[in-house]
Amino acid sequence: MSKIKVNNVESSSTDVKLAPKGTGLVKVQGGNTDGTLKLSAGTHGVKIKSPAHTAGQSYTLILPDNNIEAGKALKVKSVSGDVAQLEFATIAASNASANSIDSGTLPVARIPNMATKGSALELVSKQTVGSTDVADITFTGLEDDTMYKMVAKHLNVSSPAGTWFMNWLDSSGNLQSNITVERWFYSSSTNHDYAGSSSSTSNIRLSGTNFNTCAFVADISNIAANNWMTAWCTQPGYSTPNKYEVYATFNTSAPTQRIHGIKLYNSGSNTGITSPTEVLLYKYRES
Amino acid sequence: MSKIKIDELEAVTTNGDFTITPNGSGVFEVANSESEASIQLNSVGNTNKVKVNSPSSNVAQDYTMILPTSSPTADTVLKVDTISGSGSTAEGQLSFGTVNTTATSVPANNITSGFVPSDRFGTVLPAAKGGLQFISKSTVGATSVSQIIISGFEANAMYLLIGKNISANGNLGNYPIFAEPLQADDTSIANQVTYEVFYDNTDTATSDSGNYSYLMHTGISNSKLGFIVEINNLSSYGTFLARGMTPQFDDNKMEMYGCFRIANTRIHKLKLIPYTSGREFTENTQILLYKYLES
Repeated sequence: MSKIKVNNVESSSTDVKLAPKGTGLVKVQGGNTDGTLKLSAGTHGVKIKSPAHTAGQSYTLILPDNNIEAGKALKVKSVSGDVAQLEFATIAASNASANSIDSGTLPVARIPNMATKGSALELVSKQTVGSTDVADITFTGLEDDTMYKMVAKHLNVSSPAGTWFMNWLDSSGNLQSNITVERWFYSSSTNHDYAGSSSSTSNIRLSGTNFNTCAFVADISNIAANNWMTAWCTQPGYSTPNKYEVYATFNTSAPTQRIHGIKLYNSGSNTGITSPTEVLLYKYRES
Repeated sequence: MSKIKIDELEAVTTNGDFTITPNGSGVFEVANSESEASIQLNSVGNTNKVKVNSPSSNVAQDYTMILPTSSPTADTVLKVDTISGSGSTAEGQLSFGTVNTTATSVPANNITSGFVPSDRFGTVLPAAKGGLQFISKSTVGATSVSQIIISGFEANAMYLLIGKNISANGNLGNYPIFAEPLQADDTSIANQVTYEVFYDNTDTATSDSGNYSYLMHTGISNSKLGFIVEINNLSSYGTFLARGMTPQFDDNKMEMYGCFRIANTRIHKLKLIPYTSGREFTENTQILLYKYLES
């Protein structure tokens, strides 16, 4: 074996080539330390070093047989004897157990609809009135073949107050007519009286008295040719009982109409609906 | 320092290794004064060449990576096992390791796409998070049916029953349907249903204090009906409070107050039957059942 002793090998052109013969290797031996290859960069240099002698390792790593890509890790693809083929591989995250979600609050958008588990009533919209009075409270986008519950927690209007009404809107926001309404009201402590009906109107009356407040709960079946609504209303703060019971539906002249929007308003000549008006619209989920 | 200038060093011996032996604690250094140092490993015949380069000088790194102390095994990755020293003396002992990609602690806020599978929420939500449970939807198909039986009623639970889109193959009569509670063995509860029902536009009611079913009454005969019933299904003396109407017509309200008049009786199933003989529920009649959750 020939040997030259030298501290520095420098090329006269670009590369320095080390050319073992045949199946020979380039070996970096250790003197009194483990074999170390240092790659310098300016005044710095990083090293790749043989495992400790005591580890007794003699394996060969073959650099990846696929092209390099950002975000991938050096993975042992296969092993044959002492020879390992590396690859640039994606380290995919595996599925986490639900028990791993152990802090924070799940964003609402990440929660599925779970009617069968108890979330069968979906809040569709909540309308409130702030410091600026509004002429009406309007909900739009009601879906076909859907059951709704509307809860008017508090309707309040400035004086002089008139009667509270509900309108059903079409897809363009226009009032729909051809609504038949049956109403019942309190007349005395012993009487529950028929307040009359309207066989073809656009105004569904919700209160028996010209008063500033109104609160009601309405169940609405919104399906063309078979829609109906029952509502229970009262007027908080009024001096005597003032229940109002409403049954409304599109009449036979409107066989295909359904509700696309709902508008609530007061007929009084006032400045509008005021704070703290709050009206909630829920949808009954069916799956 | 001795130095030779040469472009290629070639082993003399056939199949002989080319050995570089630094002295003492010396290293085999690949230096380059003009760019980052690089070693190139060529495939046989020198047709393909891969390189391992030093990181850029401006990141000022001087670490040492010590190759793993165990044999490689498939599907492991090269990972830094331990570190000794720091800064320019940092030595990282590499190992062939596995990366634990299973999250053991996930802040809920970090879930930014998709849906958490509903199975992960248990059988039902706590009532504090969801108080109304959808139980069933009975929909009549293309073939009309003479009755609809709603099951799934538990003792001491509160239910909401909605007749959403009831239609029949003809007028149902002023009394559109029976709602007949059934016992566990599907038999009727004879003579124990009592109710009062306000109907039409009259301030009067029809009532019954010993029937086997709740007979809805709207006061108008039509093929349609809509209702919503609050059912308190107590083991004893449960109640049945219904409101409804005939869609498309005025003056046909139904307001029912019903209950059992004996103890130890409740609804196990509820059978809905048209009152008028020969009538059947037609396609897309829908009955929805919900349960109020209490815990």
